Amino acid sequence: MYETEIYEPDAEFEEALYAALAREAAPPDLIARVMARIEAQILEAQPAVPSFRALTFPARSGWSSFLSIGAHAAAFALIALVVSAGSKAVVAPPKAPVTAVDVRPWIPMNPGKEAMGGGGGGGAHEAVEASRGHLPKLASQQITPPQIIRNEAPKLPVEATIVAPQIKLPDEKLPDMGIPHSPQVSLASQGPGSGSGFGTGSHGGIGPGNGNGYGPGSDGSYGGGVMQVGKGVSEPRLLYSVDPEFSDEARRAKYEGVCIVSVIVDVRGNPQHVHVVRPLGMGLDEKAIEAVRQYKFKPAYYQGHPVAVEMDVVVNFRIY
Amino acid sequence: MPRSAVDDPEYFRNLMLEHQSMVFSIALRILGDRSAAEEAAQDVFLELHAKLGDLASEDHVLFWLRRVTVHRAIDRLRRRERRPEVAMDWQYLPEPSGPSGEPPDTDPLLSRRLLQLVASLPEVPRTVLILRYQEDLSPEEIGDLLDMPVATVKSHLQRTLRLLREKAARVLR
Repeated sequence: MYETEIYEPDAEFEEALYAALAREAAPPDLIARVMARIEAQILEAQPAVPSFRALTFPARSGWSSFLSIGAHAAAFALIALVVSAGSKAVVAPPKAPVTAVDVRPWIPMNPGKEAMGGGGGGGAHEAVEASRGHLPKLASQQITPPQIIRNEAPKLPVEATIVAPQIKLPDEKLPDMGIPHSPQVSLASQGPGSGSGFGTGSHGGIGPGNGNGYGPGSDGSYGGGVMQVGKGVSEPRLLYSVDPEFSDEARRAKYEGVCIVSVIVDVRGNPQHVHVVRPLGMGLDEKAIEAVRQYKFKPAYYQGHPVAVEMDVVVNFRIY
Repeated sequence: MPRSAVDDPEYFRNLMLEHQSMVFSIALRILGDRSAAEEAAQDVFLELHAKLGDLASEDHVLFWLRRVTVHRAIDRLRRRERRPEVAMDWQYLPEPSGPSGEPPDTDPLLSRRLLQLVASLPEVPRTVLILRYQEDLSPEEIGDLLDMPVATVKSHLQRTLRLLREKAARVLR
């Protein structure tokens, strides 16, 4: 064959090659190392977490179902209770529209036995303030609102009245009708209000209110609006307060001081119309308002009835 | 008959005992580095552990071991050529020792020189030579093992032997 012709075995040289290329003994620890690697592979292949046998339970008894459902229902009820109670505490009381006005001139001299409240106001869209004058007659109903008489000979004269109980109000002995404590005496005017009457309000009364009564408030009668503490008006008593928080800025600057907040305590004892009178700055004013809004008062009393009063709250920010 | 290595660890251990010298020697001659040869031999036996169930007979195991050892060793050699390590110094190749059936009347100097010459051969002729004279395989078996035509194996052998003879004649003069 062709291959055998070119293949020239040299017995002696081949013998030397056989001798030189004799097998070497393997390292003595070869088998041990292979076995160790196999074990490591098996360990790696096994899951790190042993598998769990499925747990089997006996059929659930009626009692345990009942108890389970009861416990769950109780837990849900508790959560609902906590959430509703928490939300009540968090939600701020609705703010009633309150105007801060000086009500002292409108306080009656001998209020009646019934609770005060209500008021009235009027005007005739005039440019100047309502003029000073005497009060109209107090009556239980109003046919003609108070006004400046421009028709000297009316065909069917009806006396002008405002609706109020028979009490004694501060009055002026003047010939013309008007607002008794008005500083405006030079021009006869019904004031910038509307719906006849005198003052800045509307609907035929006297004063800044809305109705046919007297003073701030609405829907006739007298004694509405915001009062000031003193002169028979007791001071609201603080029932619940929270400490104001420091703003981060003020805490970093170690800034302390006093912030005065004006607040109207309504007849339910809730603070309303909270605003800063003397600001402190560094974000503390907002913190003070936030705290005072959460206050709760026993309302101020006047003649045995709760009244809304305006008062100042001093919020002291101090770093101890 | 071969069984799964997992079923019978003792059988697998005996197989390793029987063939460790062959596997290690082939890897050593191809790689020329004892530690690399040992790692290659470990890899081969790990592969055998996984594959043992598929191997039908003892002969199949032997053939498979030779083939896989050659391929793994050449793989390592090529990896090392891409990332060359320290240069090999064949002067410090350890003497063959132990119960490897070395004829006592062999000239150790001649053997060492021949080993050096074999190590200087390119990888394919060297592998062919190793399989021919270390494993005493016929050219047909070598062709089978290396997926190579028998004629190619024989031409490799012929050329390599002639080259070695010339070199040996020069070196050993």
